[in-house]
Amino acid sequence: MSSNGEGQADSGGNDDEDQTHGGAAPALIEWVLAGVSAVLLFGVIGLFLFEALTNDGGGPVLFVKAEAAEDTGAGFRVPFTVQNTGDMTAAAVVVEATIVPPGQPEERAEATLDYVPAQSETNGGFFFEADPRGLDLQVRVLGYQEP
Amino acid sequence: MAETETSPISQLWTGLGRAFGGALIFGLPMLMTMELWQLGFSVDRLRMALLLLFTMPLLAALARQVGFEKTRNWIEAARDGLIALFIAALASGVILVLFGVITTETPLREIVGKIVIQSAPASIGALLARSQLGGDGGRADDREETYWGELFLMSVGALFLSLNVAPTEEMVLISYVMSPWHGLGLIALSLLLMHGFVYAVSFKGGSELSPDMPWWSGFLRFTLVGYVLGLLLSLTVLWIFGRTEGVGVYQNLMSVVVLGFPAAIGAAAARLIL
Repeated sequence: MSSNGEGQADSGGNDDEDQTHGGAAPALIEWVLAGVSAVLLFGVIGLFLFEALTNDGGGPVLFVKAEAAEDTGAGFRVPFTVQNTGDMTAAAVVVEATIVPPGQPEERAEATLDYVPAQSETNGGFFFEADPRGLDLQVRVLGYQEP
Repeated sequence: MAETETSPISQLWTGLGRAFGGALIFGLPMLMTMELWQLGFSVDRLRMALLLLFTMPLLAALARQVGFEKTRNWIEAARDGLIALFIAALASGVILVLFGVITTETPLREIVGKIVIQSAPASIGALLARSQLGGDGGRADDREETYWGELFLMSVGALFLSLNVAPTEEMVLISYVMSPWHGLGLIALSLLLMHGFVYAVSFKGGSELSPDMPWWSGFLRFTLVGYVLGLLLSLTVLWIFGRTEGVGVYQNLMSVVVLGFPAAIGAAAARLIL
């Protein structure tokens, strides 16, 4: 068949969204779809251009924030979030947390996150044997690798 | 559809055999990817259910277009879609057991997860087996090519290729090392290659493009719409696999554009292959 006379409702799909559109000229809906697609694509391109022009080429900027500890029965779990506000993704991010239980030596926990993407956050957790609740919990990012 | 001189039963078995082969051809790259075994237990169950719910109507619609049997109505199409899904699950299960990924000690929840996630792309393969492995290469001639049908085939191609690569860690890693300029370049290349495919098939067997239409008409209505469809499907696939959580808008879009590249190729090639 050639370019005309397509879109009959018979075998293309007779009961569903497969609707007809007449003649050789493309139906209006096709141009509407094209328009919507163009808007979406230009949105993406615009954002990329904006990032390209505002990206200062700096490295990752990593903050770690610990949340409330929970007693899991098998040690105390402290969930944490590492936030990267920089323009570059950090890989193999090592974070450390320490507590000093009263009358005991300092206890240290460490976790490694595969990736903390630029302007994104990644979650993880520390485990302690002593109860960190009510104690001064120190957390910090030790280092990362460029992906 | 010139299956002559064979009994319906042997035709059915041939069809099922082809479906099994198709499931393996299309599913093997995923079956042998570590990340997919892990996704089997890490993917959110609700999203996994959505993947299945999304796959079934897709398979039924695909069965209407290219099935292992000629389907006359939607009931038959739905039946063929379900058979394809079952064969894909069977093929995935057999292979995962032989690979030692599924053992008697694997929890049921994990077995189901692993098989479901593998079955989605494998079932597309099972259905496509008809047009891929079948002797009768005359599919394109007896199919009505409507605009919506073309978009649908493009979506299937995009979904299939993006499902194949989306789970790998390389997908997100690539997007992490790319600069915005790289991203813009990739968008341009995706569109260019896609339009090459669209143009290449534009005069074949009655697609909706005719020589007297200006190039931008086909570009806007097929290439552009197909590419954005591919991007949307890529986003959906990344979301299903839990790759978008906690990630910023820009970084997510970069992953979408990276995954959109295979999706674009898949979408464009689908119109040639199917």
